[in-house]
Amino acid sequence: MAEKKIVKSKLQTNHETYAAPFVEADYDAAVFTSNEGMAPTVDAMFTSMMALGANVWALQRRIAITEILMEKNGKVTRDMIEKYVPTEAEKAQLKKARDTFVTELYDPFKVMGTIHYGASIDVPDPTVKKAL
Amino acid sequence: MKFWMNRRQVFQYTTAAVTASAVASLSANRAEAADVVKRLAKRGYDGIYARQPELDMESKGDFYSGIYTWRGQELERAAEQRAIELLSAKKIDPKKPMSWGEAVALIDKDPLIAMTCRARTSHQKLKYKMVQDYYHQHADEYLTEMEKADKLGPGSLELNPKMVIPEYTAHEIHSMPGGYVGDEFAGHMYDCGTNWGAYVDRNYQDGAHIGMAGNAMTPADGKVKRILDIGTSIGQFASSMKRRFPEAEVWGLDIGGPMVRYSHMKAADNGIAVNYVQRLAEDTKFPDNHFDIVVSNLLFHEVNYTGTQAIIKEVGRVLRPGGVFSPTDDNKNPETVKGKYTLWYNYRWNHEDWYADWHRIDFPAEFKKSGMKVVEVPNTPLIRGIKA
Repeated sequence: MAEKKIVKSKLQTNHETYAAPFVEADYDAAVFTSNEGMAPTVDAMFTSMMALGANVWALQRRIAITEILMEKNGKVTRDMIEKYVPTEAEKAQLKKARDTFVTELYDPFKVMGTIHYGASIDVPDPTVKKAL
Repeated sequence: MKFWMNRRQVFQYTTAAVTASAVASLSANRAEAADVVKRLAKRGYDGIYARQPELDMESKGDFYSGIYTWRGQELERAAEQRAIELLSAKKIDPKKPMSWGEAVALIDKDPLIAMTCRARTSHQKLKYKMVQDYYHQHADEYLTEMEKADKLGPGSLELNPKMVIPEYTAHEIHSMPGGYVGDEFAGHMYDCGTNWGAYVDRNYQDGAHIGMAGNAMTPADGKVKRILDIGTSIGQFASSMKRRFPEAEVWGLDIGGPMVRYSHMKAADNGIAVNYVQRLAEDTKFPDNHFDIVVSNLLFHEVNYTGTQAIIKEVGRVLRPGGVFSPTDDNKNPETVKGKYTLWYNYRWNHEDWYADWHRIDFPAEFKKSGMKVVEVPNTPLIRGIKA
């Protein structure tokens, strides 16, 4: 365990506050993917990709709501988009679209290769051996 | 529970089965509440709670909910299978008894298994950061909102900004920035974080807590006048107990000032009269034999060894004879190597810093030492304590 570091909230405010100093965690120091020859930057890239996914989904959802409102009203305002409450059917459609998006984006992480390509020259494939 | 009812209707629905006098009491609460706490609710309400303040925040939260579900249902299953393959190659039974350290050493080099940790940590970091950034950027208006709510009812709020905060309570538990005590918007972060995480799809209208309250054990004599929820966090268990026992005096206690402020604001906004206090669970300041029921939800895995012993002793003190203690967490160790690995991850990198202490505690023995008879809940690993 890393050495304990006591810190205070960075929030600057003139309001009376009820927060207390706390023991800072070291989760940002974690490198999980540096095994098996992968660089630690993979960790940062995964986090970055997740943030990108969140932003893309926010855009997709905004577009979907805009389209719903256009179909219903013929015109939209920013306020209408912000405050629109999807119907139960629309919520179900959006959830299905979200899950499809998440799956498409992240399922590749479930399927990690185990054969390094340089070593695959030895695969028992008669066609490859013939070409050699 | 139907979640499309408005926030007052949910309160009515959950009390529909209670006595006429109780309903009359609740109606009085609602009437009183009509002119009290007003949430900012910039985008209106979704059921009982204010919607997220911006569409993009709601949408990103929705995405993080989707990620949480995918990680649990897809990535973890793939990793579990990979762990079985790795252990099989080494001729090791996946359920062979071993320590967390031995489990980690066996499988942590695998990139797929490591990715489960990365996905968990990235998810925690991004969702909390988004919420914290938003409320810090809009701090003035949301701190003003809480200041107004502090002074209004129904229910009450006690803050103790000068109290001594034990160090063990001031960790950034489950990677939440500032933990329970360190950020003015801890309640806001916890609310979003749990709805887009551990409680995904089942608690955004308090459904999980209403279910827990429904299952809470009652004293054999049926008398329920006073209820205490220790480690109330954002107050949902306490407010759900009030829904179930509308005539009881209900208290919610937490070490985090920002947590009890948020609890009070939410409960009062729904017209629910709970008294929230910033105090220590091991030193509640209540008289001996005071409560008929004490409840807690997922408290003890966030408390160190001596703190847990002290809290159970305090529960034994404040319960009246025949009173019941109903905690919801159990410290059963997972059976599989991958389960132990995940437990270690949560301890070390999700900063569930007291997981190891929690797993060393003999809860039945502590209950007995504190004057409580232990009752097992059928078909669950849970126990209840009944004060002798």
